[in-house]
Amino acid sequence: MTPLDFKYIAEQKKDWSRRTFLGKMAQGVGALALGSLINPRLIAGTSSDTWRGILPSPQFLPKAKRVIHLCMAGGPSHLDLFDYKPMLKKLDGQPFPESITRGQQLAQLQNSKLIARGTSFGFTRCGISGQMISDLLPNIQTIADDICVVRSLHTEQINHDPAHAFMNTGSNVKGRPSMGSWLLYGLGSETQNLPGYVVLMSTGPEADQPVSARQWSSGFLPSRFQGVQFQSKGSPVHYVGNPEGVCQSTQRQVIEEVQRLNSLQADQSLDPEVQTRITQYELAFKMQTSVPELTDMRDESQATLDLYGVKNAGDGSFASNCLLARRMAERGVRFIQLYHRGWDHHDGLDNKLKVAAGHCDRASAALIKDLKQRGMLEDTLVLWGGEFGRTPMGQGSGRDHHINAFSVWMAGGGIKPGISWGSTDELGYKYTDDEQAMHVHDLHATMLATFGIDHTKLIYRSQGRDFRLTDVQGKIAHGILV
Amino acid sequence: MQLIVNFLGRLHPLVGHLPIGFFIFLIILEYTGYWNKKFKLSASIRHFTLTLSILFAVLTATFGLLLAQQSNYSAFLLNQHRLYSLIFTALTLILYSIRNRVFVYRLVLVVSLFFLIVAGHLGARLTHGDNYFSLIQHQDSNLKVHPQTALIYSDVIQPLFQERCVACHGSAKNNGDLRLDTNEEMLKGGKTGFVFKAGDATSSLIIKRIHLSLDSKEHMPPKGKVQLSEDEDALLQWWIDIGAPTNKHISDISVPTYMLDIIYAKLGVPPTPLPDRLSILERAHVLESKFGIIVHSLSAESPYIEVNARFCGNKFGDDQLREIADLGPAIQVLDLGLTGVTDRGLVYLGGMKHLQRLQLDHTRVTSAGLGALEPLTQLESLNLYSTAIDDLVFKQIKSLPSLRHLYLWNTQVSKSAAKTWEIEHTNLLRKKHFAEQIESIKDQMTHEDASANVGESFPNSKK
Repeated sequence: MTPLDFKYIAEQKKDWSRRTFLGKMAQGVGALALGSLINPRLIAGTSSDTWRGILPSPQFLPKAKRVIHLCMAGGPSHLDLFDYKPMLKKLDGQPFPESITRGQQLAQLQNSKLIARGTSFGFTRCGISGQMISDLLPNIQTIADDICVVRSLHTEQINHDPAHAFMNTGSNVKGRPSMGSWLLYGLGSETQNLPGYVVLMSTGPEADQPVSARQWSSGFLPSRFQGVQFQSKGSPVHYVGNPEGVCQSTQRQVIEEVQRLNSLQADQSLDPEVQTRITQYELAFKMQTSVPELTDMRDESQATLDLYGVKNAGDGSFASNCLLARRMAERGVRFIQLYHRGWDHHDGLDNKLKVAAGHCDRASAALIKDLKQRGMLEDTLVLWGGEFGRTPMGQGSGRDHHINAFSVWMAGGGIKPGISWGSTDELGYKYTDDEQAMHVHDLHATMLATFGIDHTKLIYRSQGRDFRLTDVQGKIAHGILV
Repeated sequence: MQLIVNFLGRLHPLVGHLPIGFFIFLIILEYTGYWNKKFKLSASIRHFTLTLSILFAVLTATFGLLLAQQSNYSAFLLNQHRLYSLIFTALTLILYSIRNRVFVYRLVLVVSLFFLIVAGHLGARLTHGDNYFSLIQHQDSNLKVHPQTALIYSDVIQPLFQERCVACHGSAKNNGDLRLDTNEEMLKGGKTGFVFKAGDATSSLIIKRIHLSLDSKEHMPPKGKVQLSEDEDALLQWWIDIGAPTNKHISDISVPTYMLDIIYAKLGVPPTPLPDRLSILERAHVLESKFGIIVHSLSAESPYIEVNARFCGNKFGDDQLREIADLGPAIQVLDLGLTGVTDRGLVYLGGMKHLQRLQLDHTRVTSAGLGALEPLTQLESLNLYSTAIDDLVFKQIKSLPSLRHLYLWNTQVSKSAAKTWEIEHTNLLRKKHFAEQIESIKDQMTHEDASANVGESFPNSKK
């Protein structure tokens, strides 16, 4: 039995009332004795039933406390944004070397003639760190010294939905928990007034990528750990206000009665879903005041709004969502995921890139600057990137999906600032297979490491098998950790 | 089949008592018969008892040979035990054939008894360990040196060498021209080179040798000798990795907690840090439910905690802070942002000697109150954004030697004053860093000097 199993038993024990205890005497005494051996705190009894995470304490010193994942859905072209390839430019318009592509998996370019496509955009050496960043991203260029650009990331799934799932859960199989759920399961949330895992979907004319809600599912973990999607426009959470004629105290009474009835059932069974229902009712009640406070951006200064490029606070734009993300981070939300869905450029690459970069560049950079001036970049991990990259071969006026290499950047939360990690071959086709190569599993392992979590120790048993976010793989990129 | 073999082998220590018993019984019979004619031993009883002894001696020997295959006993002891036991078994067979020639029979009987006793004793040592018979029991709880004054080399590493290595690499016996009994001799190294490479445990000869497979001839300590425990191995590696200092006090080195436990165990200090950590956490959790703050243990390895009062808002003020101060030295990270803490409360921070990160944003603290932070020599990050502080802040925090991050956005502090301070403070840090570097270079030089001198005066010591 691993310590985690003991903890699990002890956690269950916590939910047992005196009555259940007497009713289930035989196992009760055993678990009580066991529990008191493991964690005296549980026997002493805590009044709150807040989830503090399955890990008694992080395995090593944590740097990050929360994640803001700026998910560029569709697959941004690393070749036009972060991975400068002069050789590809030189080959522009010529046949792509067959030696590289023979026998390789392609999405839509299967069986067509492969032509190299160089970037149409300039790259600039930025900051003291001298990282090469595309001129499409003038604002991100200014934070070059704060970010770590990973150019050797690679994934296993070549289509959007499974690739998103792989990025979120480390598997393309349905029913696995996403990374936000794993973090909540492992560490709990700092706030009891907002969900610990919130998803925001930016709206706009170019937002054409469908993203399924399974991407923030808690899979086989109890459903209290799943992501909660806030509406980007209008009321962020539906029906959060009281109906006409119901005041807050009446509402409280209703909730309390429902809680009492639910807890009768919870006493009888150890079903985590009943617990989930109880905690969600409580959370929903608290959200009746916390959500309006969160989304009321009138207290943001004009300077801040300008920094992000917010024209109309709360309009569902990426900029507005970035600002909202910072407000959530301040209020203790553990995992915040922002989707921008305009990066799938099979055609019209140059124009569409300009539009998408125009949406995201300023607000992304502003988020880093804002977190930094508030001292929050020390413990907030920001991850910027898509589910895969795009081919160095052209597809008409665009590029196809590409999994052998793509670029993301990370900042804050224990990540070394101003460095590049990993590289690709001269044409940006495949990651260089050295110690800086980074598989999605490695990204997950590194992410958990910034939280002080040993990714091999965060385990949940489902249907007789132990599961991890990194499955049976994942190596920590120690080189990018502070 | 293998299971049965293993099982029978394990019966050896049990069955082994039977031939001893029967044989000694035989001796008693012979002895009483010799002195008192009334009890004169009849030939048939002698025959019977001797047969039983032989039978069980052979059985025991067989089981013993089976057991020897499956266990990793000390090879030397095992060989001796086997030798004496087999000689004894052979002698009993001889006894059987000469049982009618009284004089020779009695002579061989006495000789056999000698071999039996030696064989039995060796067997007991194999089963119960070397110290089983020693009169002086080791009392590890006796404090050898106080941890405050203990030296890392003389009080921890050298005793380890003494215990595990010096028997063969010492003044009496210096295998491979290597002696580990004194500092000077150790730095000389041996026939195959230096003992270690300071700062790099994995490429150090001693560590390589320790990690070789037990069957390798070069494995140290050799097969059959007491091996280093995992803790001792980790200790030695850590010591080499930090540059193998020979004259530093333990209290001068920043020792990771897990290593401190190992070192304390070596010094004979009873392990206290763990209950301490638990009691701190227990106290912290009482305050947690009282005030609604969040308290974390920083990590499983760390005795320090993080206290977060941010989400309590104005409900958390100076009075609450005073109660938290009770946990003072254990707090490494403290978030008081958005709370009702004022200058009056800051005095309670003085006792938090290990504080590394402090957040005071959105509070009513002013420059005047920040003088209270002077004792926080380990403070690395101080967040004061959106407070009423002004340029006077720099006078107050001048003496914070570890400060690396200072957040002053959205305050009255002027850009020029901030810039001036930044330059001054960076210079200060650089000087401090420089001093630290010089210190460590000095340390390395004493090592290199020692080994260089040695190389000249003993040109043949390394081939």
